[in-house]
Amino acid sequence: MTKRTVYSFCHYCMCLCGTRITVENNKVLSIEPDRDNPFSWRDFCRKGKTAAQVVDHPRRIKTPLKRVGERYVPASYEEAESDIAQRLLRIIERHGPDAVGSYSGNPLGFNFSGSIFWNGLLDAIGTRNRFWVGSVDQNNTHVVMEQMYGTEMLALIPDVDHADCFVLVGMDPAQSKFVWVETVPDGWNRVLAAQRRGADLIVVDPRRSTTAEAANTHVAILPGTDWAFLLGVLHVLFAEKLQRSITAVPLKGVDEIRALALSASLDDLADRCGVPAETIRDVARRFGRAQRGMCLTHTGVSHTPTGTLAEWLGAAINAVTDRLDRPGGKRVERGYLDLAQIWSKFAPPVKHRTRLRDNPTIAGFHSLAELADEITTPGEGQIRAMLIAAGNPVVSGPDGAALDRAFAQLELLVAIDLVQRESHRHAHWLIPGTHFLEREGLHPLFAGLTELPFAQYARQAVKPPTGVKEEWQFFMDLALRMDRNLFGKPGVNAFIRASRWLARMTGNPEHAMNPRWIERLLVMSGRRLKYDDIRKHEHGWLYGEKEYGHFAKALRTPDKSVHCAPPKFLWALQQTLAERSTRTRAEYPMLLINRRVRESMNSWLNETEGLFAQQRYNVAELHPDDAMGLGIVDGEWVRIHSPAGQIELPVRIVPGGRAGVVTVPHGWGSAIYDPVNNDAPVRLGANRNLLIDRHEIDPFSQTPALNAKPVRIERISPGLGPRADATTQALRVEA
Amino acid sequence: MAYVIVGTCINDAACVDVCPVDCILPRPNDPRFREADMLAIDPAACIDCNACAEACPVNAIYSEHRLPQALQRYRRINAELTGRAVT
Repeated sequence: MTKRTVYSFCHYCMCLCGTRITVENNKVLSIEPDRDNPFSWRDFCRKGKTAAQVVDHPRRIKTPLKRVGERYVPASYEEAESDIAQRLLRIIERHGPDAVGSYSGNPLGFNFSGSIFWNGLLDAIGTRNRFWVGSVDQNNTHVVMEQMYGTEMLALIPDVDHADCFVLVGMDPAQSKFVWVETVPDGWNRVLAAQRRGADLIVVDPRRSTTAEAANTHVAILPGTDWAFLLGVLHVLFAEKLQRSITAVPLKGVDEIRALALSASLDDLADRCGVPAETIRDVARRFGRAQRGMCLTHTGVSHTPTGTLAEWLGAAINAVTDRLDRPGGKRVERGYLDLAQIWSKFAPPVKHRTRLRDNPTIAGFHSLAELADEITTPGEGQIRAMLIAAGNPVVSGPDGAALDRAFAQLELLVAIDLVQRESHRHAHWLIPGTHFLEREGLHPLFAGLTELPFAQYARQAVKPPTGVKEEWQFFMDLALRMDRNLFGKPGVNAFIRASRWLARMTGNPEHAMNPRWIERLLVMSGRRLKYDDIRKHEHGWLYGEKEYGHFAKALRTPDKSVHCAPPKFLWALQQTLAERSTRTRAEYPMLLINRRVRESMNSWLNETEGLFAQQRYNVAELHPDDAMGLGIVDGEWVRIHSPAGQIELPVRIVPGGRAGVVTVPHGWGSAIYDPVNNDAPVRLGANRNLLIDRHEIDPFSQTPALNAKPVRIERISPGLGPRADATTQALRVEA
Repeated sequence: MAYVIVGTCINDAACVDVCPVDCILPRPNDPRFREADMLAIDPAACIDCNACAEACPVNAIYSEHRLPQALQRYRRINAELTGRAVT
């Protein structure tokens, strides 16, 4: 067979880098950035380059595997679907549909067909106990969008090329690129280019990150106090009349937020966030006086108990300084379909609330922080079965030890994934997943999240292993097997069966119900592009120009204005101002924070050989003052304690940033099991989320406090100095 | 735009391990690697990701924009060593 070239894009993160994939005999030879992609390729990284190593994972699940005692045995889909269907039906019959819980991870979000049919299956089951990864990541932005813009789904795009001032809070785009819910390709280098043209770059981060190193001003804030810093900025903006009275979009609640901001004392706020009042004043003045600018708040902010308040205050700063829908500020990309409208049609009219803590869904799902208790606490509505799709919640979420214990008591645990990970330890069934290199399709929900009007149909580079079903097929077949209508709508299963009959009769598989139909319908609903035209552009299609002026129309608040002072946020901020407490205490004197690493994607790629050639584990980054105080040398192993747990890992001493802060990236320490050959699990690095309390959550976003966690560090073997990294050597993946 | 390797390079290839586009030459499996005085970045292939600069143990890699005046000649040297026209 001859070599062929496939143009597609990487689905690991929202950069969506165009890729040029060389394939021979159903094997990927190389993946390079597609420099002819008109939208994105400059953020290309080793995740995309080594993606085929994940396809060829030595421990990949290639057939359904059934647990028999402590081992797994291969089974047919027929057997798997029949057994799972029967067991689910029995649980539903006895305990109701909410006894079946679900969790989906980030990779399913990038798999449009998978996620649509996943929801179809969950609707077929009828469960409302749905959990997802967004609750340890971006939930606060959905809550703020809903309160301020009237919909959980209205991401604003930073217009980086035209900004004169950037205030970047809790983000490290030099590592993670310029993505959040939305994506700005090559955004970080474009910010640096703007800086060279004279733009002011202010980075607020406890760490001296790569991003902070490039800043004109780095504000090394006390972790977990972004809200106080941002309220201080608002205070100065109002006190010095730097806000704008004429704005591109109508605002509501400015008087209320002004009154609250002015009532707060700048010195008090400065004291809370550990930043001199003069610095806050200086940042506010530079931002307020800049003609164009943006304040952005990302994961570092969302992972704190006050993450929603801070996200709101950041958005309010943009609103009152007229940064919304203005060049150099944040704008709406209308895309080729109206995501907010589709969302409003499909979202249930009333948000389901959790049984134990009475928390509502956010963007359709519950918080991972609640899952363990929903499984272990007896009573009506207790979760007794779990379906996990492309997710590793034991590692991604707080207090994985508690969730692991909860999973152990399930009557049924079904995991759909490429390999058996930590969270699938107790699985009764392992169902093969597919890699994005093995799938094709359009992801219409990205339409309003890309910086520019852009659409790309992903191409299949290689076929999945023989016999492996794509996720959507398995979800559909399971709903059929349960004889419960996919999407919970009467007649759907009969329609699917009829379409399959037609496909058999005509010999055309396209006549059988498939995700392409849904993609096509969604594109048609937007009345802007033709599906077939999108498919024709193999490098992706930049189908229009950047436009401003769409925000006011996209607002879904009843009065079509941006609500700057949602009452519940105002109330909560007043409460927060009235309290005075420090997070650290004598027993736990340091604060743990998280960081991004370019080559890492949460919990699911770290074992890939080609990603971390030099260091296959995570480390605890310490300030030199702290290291000296504790008598720790670079490379030495330490134990980090919190009330929830403890981990061991080596230290790296990193100058700069704030003392009293220890940084450990998440996503490491997951076991990768070998269900076929039963070899020892591979485990690289330490799972720092074991230190996190699952009960301390941001009350609005329900995000656990993965940042600003009080911890204690102790030396493991005082006086022994650096220890050889034997653990990682011993645990290399055996190909 | 590109990153530039300067003369303090110690040829340890730490940068080669982290480059997503294999634009650092010569590669360790290339016979020329042993004789090379220094490694160089192909300016036409570099995507400005900064990974090599972070990995370099001796800080011998700069963004072109931050290249000190005294080291400007390495722009040309990197281009020549990788067989590119000097821009």
